[in-house]
Amino acid sequence: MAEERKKSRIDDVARSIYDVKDAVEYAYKADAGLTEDVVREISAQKDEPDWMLEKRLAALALYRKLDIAPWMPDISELDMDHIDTYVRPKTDMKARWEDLPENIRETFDRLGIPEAEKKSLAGVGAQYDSEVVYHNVQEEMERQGVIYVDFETAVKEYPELVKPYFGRLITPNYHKFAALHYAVWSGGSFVYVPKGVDVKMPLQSYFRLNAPGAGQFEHTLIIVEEGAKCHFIEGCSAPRYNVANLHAGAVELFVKKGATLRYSTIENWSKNMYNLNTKRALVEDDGHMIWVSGSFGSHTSCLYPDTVLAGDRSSCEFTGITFAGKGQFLDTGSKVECIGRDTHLSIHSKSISKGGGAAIYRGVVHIGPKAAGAKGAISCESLMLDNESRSDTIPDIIIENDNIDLGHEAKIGRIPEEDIYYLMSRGLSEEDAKAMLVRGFAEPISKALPLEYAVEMNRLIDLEFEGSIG
Amino acid sequence: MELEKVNRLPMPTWRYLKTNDSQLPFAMPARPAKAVWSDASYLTAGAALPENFEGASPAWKDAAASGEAYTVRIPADEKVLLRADIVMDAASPDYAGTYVFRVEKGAELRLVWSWKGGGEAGVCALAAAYELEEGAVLHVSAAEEGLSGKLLCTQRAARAAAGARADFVSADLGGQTVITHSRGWLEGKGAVMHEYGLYAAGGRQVLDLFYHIDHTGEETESDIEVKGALSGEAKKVFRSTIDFKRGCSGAEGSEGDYAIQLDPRTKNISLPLLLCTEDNVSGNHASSAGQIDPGTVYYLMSRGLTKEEARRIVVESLIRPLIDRLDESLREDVLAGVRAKLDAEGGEP
Repeated sequence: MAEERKKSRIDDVARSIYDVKDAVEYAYKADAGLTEDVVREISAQKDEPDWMLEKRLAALALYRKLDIAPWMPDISELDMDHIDTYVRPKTDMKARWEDLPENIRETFDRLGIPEAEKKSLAGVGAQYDSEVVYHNVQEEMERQGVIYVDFETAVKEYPELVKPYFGRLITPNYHKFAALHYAVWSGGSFVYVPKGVDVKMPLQSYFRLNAPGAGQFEHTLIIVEEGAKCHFIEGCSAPRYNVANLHAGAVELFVKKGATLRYSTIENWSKNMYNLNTKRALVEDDGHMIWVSGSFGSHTSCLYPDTVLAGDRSSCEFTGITFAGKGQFLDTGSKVECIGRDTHLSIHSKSISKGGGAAIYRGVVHIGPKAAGAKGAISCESLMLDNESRSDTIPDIIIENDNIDLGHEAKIGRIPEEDIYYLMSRGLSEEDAKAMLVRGFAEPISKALPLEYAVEMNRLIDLEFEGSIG
Repeated sequence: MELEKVNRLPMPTWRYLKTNDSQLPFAMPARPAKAVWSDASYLTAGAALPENFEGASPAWKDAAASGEAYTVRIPADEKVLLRADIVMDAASPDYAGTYVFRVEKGAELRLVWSWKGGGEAGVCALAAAYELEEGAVLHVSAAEEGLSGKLLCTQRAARAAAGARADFVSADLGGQTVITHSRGWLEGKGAVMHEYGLYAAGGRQVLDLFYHIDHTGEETESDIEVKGALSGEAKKVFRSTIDFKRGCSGAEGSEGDYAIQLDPRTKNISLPLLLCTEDNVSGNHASSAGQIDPGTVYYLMSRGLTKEEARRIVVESLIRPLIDRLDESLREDVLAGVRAKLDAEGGEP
């Protein structure tokens, strides 16, 4: 007979620095809701070329036509008529932190961005609500021809680089919220790494949404040319409000022949956020794409980084962790499409659910008829910390040729009792023992992050355990 | 032929993948054969399927209901072996049947379904509900031969009370289109359900396999294991779900899908779902897909075997453990059927 263990109740806790709200100030705010007038106004505010306005309007028409996928979590509380799609902060973009208004500067100071820039980053972009307010890149990077600018500057100054790639990988008809993104996108980053250049220190963009009831729709486009290497880090957070906020960004990544791109994300949106983000990478011959993804925040998430292994011998790795607490429904995972020959994929996903949270792994690996020689391994591990929560694994594996070698394994369960008892016998409390074991469970992901971000991830895990009652 | 959506995934995923269900040929059985039972004394005419009997689709449920219907009751503590022989010929190339099996407290039923045909076209639709009372034991073996022109749809649902155990073992070798829909509910403490499926599909055969087991009782156990080989242009879809419901503390479940693909034109789709709302459980999934390891084939050929013999040995070694789980009366025929299939070009006997 299985021994019933006394359950721990794990309370929701204040999220410390992430929950600090600034006074809501803005230079301009579009009318709430999604109308053609709002879209035209956003475009006019940005003084965009006509081709971009046309793209926005076409995307709006598509958004109205497309339905919400029936498998998605319930997002009925997300009322687009009450979402502010464009909130321009009371500052233009600066290249020095000290030039920013005090409240915005303090927000990013609390989040440790300027400090991280000094220590370990080659460039930083910081977005506040709908616009990028800070952008800076090391001179050495510029000398090597690396372009790292906010996306609107890229549209105006590098149209020959932006136009052929913008919306090519994530098209507006990819899904309803991709269409929404293209109708109202604002902000984001553009990175261009020339042939053969190795960007040795990471670039980071941080997205902060302060305005209640607002949406953030940044567009990130990264092109890593032949043989080049780059590590891009994306961070995001917002204070918690009683109204729904929405994030529907788009990330398009082009990894050229022999190039390597590592894209790391620590997502820590507030728990009133609907995070309906889209990320997609196209990898050419011998290219290598690495995703490292930590999903901790938001009320509801639908996020499945998608890698198209188009080139021969192209490869990808996905290492992700999802931590769903009280009131959260985090539907995350990964997609890989193998098209080229001799491709290689590795998916390693972990999830933790507690306090009534739902962590769903949803994935697809599609090995096409011409993708001979594809090899891969998929591993999904789910940890349930109580029986109020939910954890589902929904993988889809489609194989259309015989010359492949693919293994998949999934596990679901709770922390082994004997491990908890062992640590408790060594003097740890039950909560400390659990937290230690959860950190151990998450270690493969934290190891894949730069040290500062691994520390942040562990801090987020600790935050989730604070206030626990045995 | 009419098309019908079957085997809908309980938790759907992206629509563009077109894997949430399958759209497959459907026809009503027009000239059904009769099942011949080894002992008809346990059968009474008429069968009322439970209301929650889903079937592969409503139309397939109706197709099964258009034929013969029986309730089979195995009295408490009795041990019974029953065999149903269904032989379809040119005069009666189809089959339709609905059954309710009630295995009472402490009883044991070993049931064998034997399907035979002469290669002619036809439609077989079977719906069977199995109710297992406390401590009951059920072992069901199913195998077919000569059904290469048939459209086969086997639908079942099993409900197990405390301490009951149900094992289903089926061998799918023939059938142009094979639809399996199996649903299980492990309700009582310590209930057990195992699903074992083996197949060798070739030519343009389509296998659409669906298994879904709910754990609601404490310390329940499930195992879904499907193994086989695909050749020619054969396609296999494996939809499997183990759902650990809140309260099934101590439950264990595993699902496995192992496929050897012998031809570049084969298609292999696998959706192994694990759903969980109870923390004190252990759920596992494992799967593998790919060609026969060339190193193994080389080794066997270096020992004097031909390439075909080596290939056959590797496939047999994969599925032999499942063949051994079939009722003894079926094993030799199934093994011979697998060999014939593998020896034939493109898997077509």
